[in-house]
Amino acid sequence: MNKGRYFEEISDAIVNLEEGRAVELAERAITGDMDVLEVIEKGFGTAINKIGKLWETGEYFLPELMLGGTIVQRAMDVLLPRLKAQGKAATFGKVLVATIEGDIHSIGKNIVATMLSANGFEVVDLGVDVPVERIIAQAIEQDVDAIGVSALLTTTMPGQKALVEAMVTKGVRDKFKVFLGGAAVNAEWVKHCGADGYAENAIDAVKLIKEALRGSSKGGK
Amino acid sequence: MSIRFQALDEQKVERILDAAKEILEGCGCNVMHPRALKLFRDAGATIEGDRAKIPRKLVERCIESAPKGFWIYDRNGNRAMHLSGKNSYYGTSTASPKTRDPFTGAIRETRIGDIELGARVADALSNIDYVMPMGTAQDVPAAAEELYEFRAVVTNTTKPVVFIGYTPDGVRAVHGMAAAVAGGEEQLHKRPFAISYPEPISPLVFPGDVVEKMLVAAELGMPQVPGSTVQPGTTAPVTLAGAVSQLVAEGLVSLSIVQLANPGAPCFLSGNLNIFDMDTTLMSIAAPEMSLGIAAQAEVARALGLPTWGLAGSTDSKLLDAQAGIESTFSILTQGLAGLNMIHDVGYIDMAMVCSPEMLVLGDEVIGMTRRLLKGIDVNDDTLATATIKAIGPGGNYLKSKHTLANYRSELWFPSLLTRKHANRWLKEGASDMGERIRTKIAEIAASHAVPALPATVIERLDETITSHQRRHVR
Repeated sequence: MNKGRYFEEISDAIVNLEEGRAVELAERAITGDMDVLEVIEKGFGTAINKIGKLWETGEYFLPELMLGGTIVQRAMDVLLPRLKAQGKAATFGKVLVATIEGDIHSIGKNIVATMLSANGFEVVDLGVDVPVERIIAQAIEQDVDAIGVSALLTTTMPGQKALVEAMVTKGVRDKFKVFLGGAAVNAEWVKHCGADGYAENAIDAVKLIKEALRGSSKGGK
Repeated sequence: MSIRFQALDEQKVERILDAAKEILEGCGCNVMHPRALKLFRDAGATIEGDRAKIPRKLVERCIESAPKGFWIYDRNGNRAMHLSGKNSYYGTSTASPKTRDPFTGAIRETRIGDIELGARVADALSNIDYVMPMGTAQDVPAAAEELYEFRAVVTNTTKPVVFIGYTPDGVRAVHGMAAAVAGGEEQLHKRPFAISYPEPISPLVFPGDVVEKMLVAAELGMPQVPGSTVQPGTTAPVTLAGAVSQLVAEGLVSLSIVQLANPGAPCFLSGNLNIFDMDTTLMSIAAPEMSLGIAAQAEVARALGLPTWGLAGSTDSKLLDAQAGIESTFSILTQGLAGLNMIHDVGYIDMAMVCSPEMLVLGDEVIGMTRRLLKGIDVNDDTLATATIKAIGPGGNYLKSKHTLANYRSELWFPSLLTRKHANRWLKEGASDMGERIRTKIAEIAASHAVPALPATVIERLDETITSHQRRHVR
């Protein structure tokens, strides 16, 4: 199999949102005994970049981004066992996401989670209405690099501050980057909470986290 | 289409039509044109001096012979507008002595370059369906003004053109130019892309030159949209019912002139209704009664199966401000809901004294929103999406659903100029207001929107027509 042509094919399948074809090509990487890291980088990576460009130029919108992300996840599922068998990691880092206790608005967190997965992050999604103690315990147990915590309601936003404070009390503040999400979150709030950042949309969130974890993730890529 | 606004019920339509016929029979109109008077007399009208009293039977015969809906084509001979039923098409403003320069903000006399730019901007806007010369050029020889204007429009858009002939010979000459563009008279006749717009004077006066223009277009088989303008309280009764019935009567006179001259010639049952402001003593181009009244007139015309005419997307404001946005939206939306066929005047500011490309671009965005509304809601198994709802379930996420991907582009309208950006991004990108974004768009269109050039031989024909017309008519 011509490798260059194969990378192009799997990238095109993802960009054109052909899920069946993308999975089939991923399976071929296994049967053909290809370097899966190279497939992820040159196939998936190229596709994700192309989809990002199509979004920037206004040709793709969120539904295409989300479906593209889902397809990458499905194709990744095919490659992961091989990767693990080789003892390799293939992520930019591990991110825990959750909506804060008292808040069950999940769509924003879900969009960010999908975009993170599609962009090569491992995501631990704790779901909605998650107490601060559980977030911290899971972050430690799963050895994540970053925590993304979402609060849509202004009434639940204090929970974000409580999370950072609890991390400080437990002496684990420096172990994880903390990012805040929610419509009313802004730079002042991030500063007030002592968190590490926020983004205005899911695409910027990926950029933000990628930038923040560059060279420091425990997954090590 | 299911979403509609109706100004009149069937009985009111009947009463207004009956009143219009009564006006023509009992009062009549002044037709200052001997040949037209003879046509009316021979058909059974009572003539005293210039006054023609027109019996109902005559009017009804003329309504019968008029085509009920017709197609208008583009410059390339493709079907562009089906003027029938409740199909709505929007076009530019026209004939103002002044222009608001989109690059300097100055309001100054209209130049031929403004008409070229107006046509090119209109050509680039997906919701503008036809083009009128955006202004009356003050920098070309008056003897051939409409010819210069037609040339400016037809070389800068492929969309259908509505023009105002300033003289009967001007109408004839523009018809010749249109034929040159279409590839011959027969081609133009089969696939008309130019419409003549003669304007009788309310109340009920049909000046000789206006009638002659109608006869010229009728005999050439050129579609025409006669537009007298009633102003309730000044040139028509102040009550809308009376003003509308008079406007219908005036439209029926124009239609009758055209049908008597050439039965079957395409003609609208049309007119304009503007509100005379009793405070400032000036004519508004954006009052709510304007849209209400013109919608009522159109309902009467539609009841007879005849194409209709509207006026929207204009403002009394002198600049692109909140008033301009309110007035543009109000008229475009209501007249779209009313289903008027050809709605002109998108682009007027300052009570029709000034044409503004900025106002045109603003209107394009409003028409986009309006058209989304008019498209309504399809209800079927796929759009109800019950299967998808079951599959996604409570707490789920429709963003990853194929149903979303398959439908969101057709279901959701995407603005081109209204901002939906995050406030921080909007700030970072210069915190532009709508006017600035519109002006940027116009600059982009001016710099890069290309309209296919007409063949050199056709341009030569247009220029020859202008030169010889100018030589023959020194005004």
